[in-house]
Amino acid sequence: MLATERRAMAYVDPGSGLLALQSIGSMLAAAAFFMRRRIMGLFSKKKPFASTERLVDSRLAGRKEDSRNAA
Amino acid sequence: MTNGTPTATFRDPAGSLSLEGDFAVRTIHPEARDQVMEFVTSPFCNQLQQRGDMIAITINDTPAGLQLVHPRVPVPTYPWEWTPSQWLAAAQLTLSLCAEALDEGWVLKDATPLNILFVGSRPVLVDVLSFERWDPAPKKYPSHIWLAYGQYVRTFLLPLLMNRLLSWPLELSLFKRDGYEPVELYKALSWRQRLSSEAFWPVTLAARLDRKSEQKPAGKTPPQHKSPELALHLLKRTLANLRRQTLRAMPEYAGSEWSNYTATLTHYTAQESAQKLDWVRHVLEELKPARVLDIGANTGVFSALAAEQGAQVVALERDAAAAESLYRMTCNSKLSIQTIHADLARPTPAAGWENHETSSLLHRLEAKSDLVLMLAVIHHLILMEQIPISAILELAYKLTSQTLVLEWVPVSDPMYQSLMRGRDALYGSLGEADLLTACAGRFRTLRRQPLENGRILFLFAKES
Repeated sequence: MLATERRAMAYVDPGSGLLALQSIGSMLAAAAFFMRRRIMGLFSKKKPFASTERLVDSRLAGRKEDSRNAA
Repeated sequence: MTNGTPTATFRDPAGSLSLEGDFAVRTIHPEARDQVMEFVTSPFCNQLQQRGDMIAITINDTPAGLQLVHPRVPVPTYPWEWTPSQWLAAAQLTLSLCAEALDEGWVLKDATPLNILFVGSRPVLVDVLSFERWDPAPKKYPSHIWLAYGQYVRTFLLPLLMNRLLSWPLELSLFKRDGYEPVELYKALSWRQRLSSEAFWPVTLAARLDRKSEQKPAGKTPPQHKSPELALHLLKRTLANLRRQTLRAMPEYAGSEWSNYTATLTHYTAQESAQKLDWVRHVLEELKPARVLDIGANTGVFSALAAEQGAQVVALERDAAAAESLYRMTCNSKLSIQTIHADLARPTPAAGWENHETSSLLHRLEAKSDLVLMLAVIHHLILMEQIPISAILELAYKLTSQTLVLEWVPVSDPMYQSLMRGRDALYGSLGEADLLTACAGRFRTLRRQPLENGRILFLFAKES
């Protein structure tokens, strides 16, 4: 996964080592995210990050609509 | 003066910027038009402008194309003229704007100090094309990746870190448009520094990963996260980590030769110091200059005096610690003072492609001030930089549009004697008459105030 991210496209140079570094940081943060969600799940039925999900869902919905329009 | 107005920018594929009179005009390329329009008409963009975090935008949408018109910052400064706290302020603005943008469905596509200018003590994002729509499911890279991460580390984090660890001057950023690569810094650090908490992540680990990824061939496009909300969360964690790392990279400044200058004032008694302050305050109250340039501002006592009278002040200081102290003072006092860490005797040159991407310091300062302050600075230029008095007055003539306040330091002054260092034959007979001879044709004397320590304060008016 680390090696493949060199293909990332940007107008600024993402850098190969720094891109891999960011991925490692993200993996650590993702592990913490899942752990925290599991622990929270033990105590509550409420879904965490609900507001974030709404934002992303609306973005994805917009995207699908855009592609329908384009077609 | 040489090395004038920068030519149109050319790196960003979305548009280019050129300076026209009192405005900076950004011409948007047709393929980026829709996205740019969506951003500049968004409530988020409007909010950033109203808060003063982003430069004001006037939309000029004509059949010929889309243009964004911005007011020009009177005296722009570049990262190689900033103190560490100015770097930190610019870095924090970049990260906080990116985090805020993610909440609104946008992201910064680049993150470099060159996107920021200072207005007074406040950093302002001027590259409005840095924002693009955040894509929760990009095809070519994982959605948790911030593509500008590498640029932020190279151009913000690593210069600050090397300033802290090895005292590499931040001025070196003049020669490093895209910052430092971790690999080149890794070689410069000792083993202890490589393993330090500040350097291990952004230098040691990044350099090792760089080598590793060079050895491996590129593979398939990586799989996407199943949940885009996780990607958004990870992006925000990345920004928060960068903020922490940047704070840790800040240099620990010790007092320098000049940072305690106004506190110690060995050549001024309290009474003499008060006499000088009163005289300068009186001049400022009388002239009420709109723009003041304070050359050799030190920690900014006289800059603050001018700003309190309503002037917009540009404070030039060559000592890094004094300039840092000056900038912190301007942040605390909220006065309209813009700090420039630069040396008048060796002013910042024009830089970039064909020396036309950024302009020289003198070009930016030329005739921009109604009043120029040169307090306790002329003897440094004469004795340390060996600049002739006539050349100093000629430069002052170009910098001021109306008046000049100059403090003349006589040969008998202890500071003059210590800087002369045995060169009596060259500098031992310089006197007030030489100063007035150099003023001929350039300045006429409006006021002359001798101080008890032998120094003389002059108010000169520029000859037309």
